[in-house]
Amino acid sequence: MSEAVKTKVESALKAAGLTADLTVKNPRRIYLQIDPKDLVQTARAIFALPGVRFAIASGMQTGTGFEVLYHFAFDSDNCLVNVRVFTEEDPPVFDSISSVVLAAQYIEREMHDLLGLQFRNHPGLERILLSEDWPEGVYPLRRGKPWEGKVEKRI
Amino acid sequence: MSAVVPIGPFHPLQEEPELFRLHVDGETVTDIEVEIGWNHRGIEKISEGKTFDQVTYVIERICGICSTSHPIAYVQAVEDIGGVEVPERALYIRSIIGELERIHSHLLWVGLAGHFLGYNTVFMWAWKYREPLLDICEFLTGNRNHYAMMKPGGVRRDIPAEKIPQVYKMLDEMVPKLQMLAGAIIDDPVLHARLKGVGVLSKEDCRAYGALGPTSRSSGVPGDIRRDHPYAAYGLVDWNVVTQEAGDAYSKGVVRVLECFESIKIIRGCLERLKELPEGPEYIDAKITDVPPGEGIGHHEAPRGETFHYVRSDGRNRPIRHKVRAPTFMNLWTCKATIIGESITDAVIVLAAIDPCYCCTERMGVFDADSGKRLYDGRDLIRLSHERTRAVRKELGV
Repeated sequence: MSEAVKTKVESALKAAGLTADLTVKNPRRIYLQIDPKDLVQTARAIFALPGVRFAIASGMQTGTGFEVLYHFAFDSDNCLVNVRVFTEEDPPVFDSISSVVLAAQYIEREMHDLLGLQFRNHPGLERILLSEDWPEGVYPLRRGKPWEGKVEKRI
Repeated sequence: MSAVVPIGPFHPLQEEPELFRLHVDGETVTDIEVEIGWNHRGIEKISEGKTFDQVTYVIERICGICSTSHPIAYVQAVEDIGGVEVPERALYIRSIIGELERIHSHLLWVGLAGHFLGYNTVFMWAWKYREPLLDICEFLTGNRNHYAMMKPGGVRRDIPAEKIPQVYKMLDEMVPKLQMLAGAIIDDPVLHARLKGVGVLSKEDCRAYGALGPTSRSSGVPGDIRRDHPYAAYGLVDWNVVTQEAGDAYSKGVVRVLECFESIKIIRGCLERLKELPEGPEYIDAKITDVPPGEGIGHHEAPRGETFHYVRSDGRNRPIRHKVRAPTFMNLWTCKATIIGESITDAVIVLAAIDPCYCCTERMGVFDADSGKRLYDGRDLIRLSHERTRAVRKELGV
């Protein structure tokens, strides 16, 4: 359960020289807030642990900025470790973890499409879900004023 | 000579839109590009405008095959926010519906795989045997698909004691048919020659791509959310995780066929317990009145792998963020590892072997770019279909 995973994650982070704010919400969920500059190192430390699986990342716009939650599953311990990064910058820029976790590049492309998050050192930050003629700079999952522009028709 | 072979986005071999560009050198596939997004429906955004109860119905419509997987994952995410205890009877009912769905989904895949390979008899058998299952789904829930059984805190409908014998009867009749189908597939020399060693996915690639469900279990990775993160009644009944070691298209098929038997075991175990538990509306629903501020995660082992839902609440009656990740979003990319180096003739079955469920992964209506008006809706399509039927009748003179 969470105790074993908590110890594992804490010692892995300590070995990598990182500090993190760790919260055990319940025996099956651990949340961890980190500084965005430590993101790649943290992902490397956690993804190197035995039995870990990258589940997915959830990006969102909160009231004050942008947040990404990376979900790592520890299947044999019945526990999910969720790594949270937050930025107030606009445009929001994070480091891409795809050099560590190959599977993350696709969800990073999705977050780039839907929320306008930028990922440094991404191998190809292209559109994944939105159509090619979708206007630049319009992000469906962002809050605020709806976009009122017009799309140029192409046949 | 190298060339590019596009499959899709609309192709008679695919039931749903997806674009694969196969780069081939002679007959060997050298690279593959996958383009998704042909069916983006904006469900995550729609979710933010619905109440917690309404979202269950919206996300049930994400997928037409594994329609209950998304609600099971979602209701668990909502329950995870406030730490709600779900009544035991509801847990068993959730598992029964989840497993009925798994069998019909796997049979559907077996049929399609047979069809892709030119085994149309397998296609006919598998889909014929699937029919009584769908009838039982209708008998229990009122619908062959889109059961609308889940709700945050429990289930919407009970399975009363008088309905249980008919489910047993269906399962008893199903087993010999499945055994016959399994035997025909597992022992068929032509299928062995055609599928063994084709599209092999290694354990390392499973980990790198985050492969899920039967796709990873056929590569010897024993991951199954039902056993690893027990939820519903999966930790309360006896069953086994099916794994295979080879990681080829054949193993993926075998895992799915054998899993049907485990699902039957789970359903029987759950039905046994249902008979002992008290019946009544108060035993199937925890009656959630509000969702506190916070965040929650729910996941369910759908027929194709783990369905993952993340829900955040700010204390009002609707989610402020709802992230949906379908298993195919992870599994689809493994084709980069499996298809390169294979012959173009095997491409279809290798792509089909992960059982891609596009409607889950894709999330697009046809809109006019100038006016923003929807060009086609369901009624238009039916009208077009009727017109076409009339034109054909006229042509044939009937």
